[in-house]
Amino acid sequence: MPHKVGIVATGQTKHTAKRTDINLRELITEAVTRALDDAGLRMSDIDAVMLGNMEPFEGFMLPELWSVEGWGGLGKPAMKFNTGGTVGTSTAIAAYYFVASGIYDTILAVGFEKQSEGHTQTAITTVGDPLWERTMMAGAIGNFAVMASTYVHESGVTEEHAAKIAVKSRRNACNNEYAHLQMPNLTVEEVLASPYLAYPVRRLDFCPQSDGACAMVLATESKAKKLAPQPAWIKAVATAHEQQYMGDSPRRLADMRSQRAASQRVYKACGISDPVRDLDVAEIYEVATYAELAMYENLGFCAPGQSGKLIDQGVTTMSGQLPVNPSGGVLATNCIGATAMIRVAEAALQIMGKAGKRQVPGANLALATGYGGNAWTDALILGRE
Amino acid sequence: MSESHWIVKQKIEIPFHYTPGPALLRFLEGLRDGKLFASGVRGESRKTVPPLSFCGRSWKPADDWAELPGTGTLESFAVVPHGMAELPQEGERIVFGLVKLDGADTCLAHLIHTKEPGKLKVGTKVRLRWRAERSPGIQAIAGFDLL
Repeated sequence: MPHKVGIVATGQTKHTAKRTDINLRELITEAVTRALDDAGLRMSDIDAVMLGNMEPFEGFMLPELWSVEGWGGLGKPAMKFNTGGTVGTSTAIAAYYFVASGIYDTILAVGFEKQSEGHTQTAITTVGDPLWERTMMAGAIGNFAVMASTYVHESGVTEEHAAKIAVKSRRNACNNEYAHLQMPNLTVEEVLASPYLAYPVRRLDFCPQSDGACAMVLATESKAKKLAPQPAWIKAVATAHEQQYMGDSPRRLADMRSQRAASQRVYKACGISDPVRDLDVAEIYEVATYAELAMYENLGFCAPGQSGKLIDQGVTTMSGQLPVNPSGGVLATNCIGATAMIRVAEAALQIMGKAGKRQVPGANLALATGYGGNAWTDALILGRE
Repeated sequence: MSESHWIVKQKIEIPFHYTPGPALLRFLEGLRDGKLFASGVRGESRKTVPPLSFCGRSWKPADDWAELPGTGTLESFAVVPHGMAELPQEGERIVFGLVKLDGADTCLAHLIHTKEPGKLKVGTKVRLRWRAERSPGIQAIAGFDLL
């Protein structure tokens, strides 16, 4: 049986398009210092460090090497993860495994990305098959638009539904002091007036590119109880992988097999049969508005074809039955190596009752997901018990 | 058989923009002005060059600054048996070295200028030579001469 593991502290930078005042190492230190301060710990109290980053988005390889003084890795056991969009959740899950297995008592997990220093889309271009897909559908936007159009045509979601998601995200972000895109007055009309990046995806349908870092401290049950009045206990974790050519799965967004598999696994582990009823809050990894709508279906928040109705009825807004992404989500902040960890950290803040203006009152059970790489999904359930 | 193997050639260019942060900015400005700076944690003797803004060992700010005299000791080196168009050289060979600068605890990587690289030894004393025209980068330094 795995030992009980709690998240006891989190730290984030103020995410923004370009952090030109500090270097990569200093960006990481900012988040790590905040997490250590949050737990009342010193670096010497940390047994091991798990590091997440998606190279070469910064423009060079092994950024952990010359940034080591900034993340506390000197002389400590450390591992680095590089799994695409899921990197932050992969890193958090690895940290969980090490504590749950009894190998380490107190672990620091860190995710970071300083995209302004490199060229993310160039790096993403190398992800597709070099002969058959690189020239045709390279980069994130075109690739995603191709997936989204199938979903739009099958599900019947409209541009207005997508625009409502865009507005929800950027308005929620105004309650999050760390969020990148905070747009308190954004309207559906403005989203619909923003230009197409690639049909059906408009500029305001897509996530920004951010510089930022996130850190968390995870600890064994006895230590967690001493370090935090209310730890965020990790109730279940799951990772589901998928690997394919784009051409193998035109319905990749409409039918996210890894997302269904990972979420069903954590729901089953926690006895969740109706996620909208049983969960109190969700922090999901949605790179675009259409992704969030598709994820409502694939995470079991609604029946197929009903995601538009869910946002029309306000079920996933702050005042709805299941608020999705009170932080503003990926649509408001995407510092890739940190992004999925931010989902976990924000879910943890909700469970710990420390989410400030974005707090969902009495949040007892939270879902956090990571999505990316080649359509992989990570899922975690956090709870107060 | 090799002529029957196809090779598809592609090229990927990755742009890169470096943000120095406060400590390295001061170091770069020093290079431009012909000054070599190191930093360390107040109350600790260890100094690093290039300087860090934060010490990962004691987890404290490294804001105790020192200007270094530019002399040092060769800790390690490599002799390349041909020249390189991008690098200035004396003689026919290029020598790269790691120099532990007096007043610092870390080494700086740069060119070692000597016409007799065969006589170099670990422990050889060297002195930094500035370029006449300096831009804020490591090439503001021409290299190290033997003392």
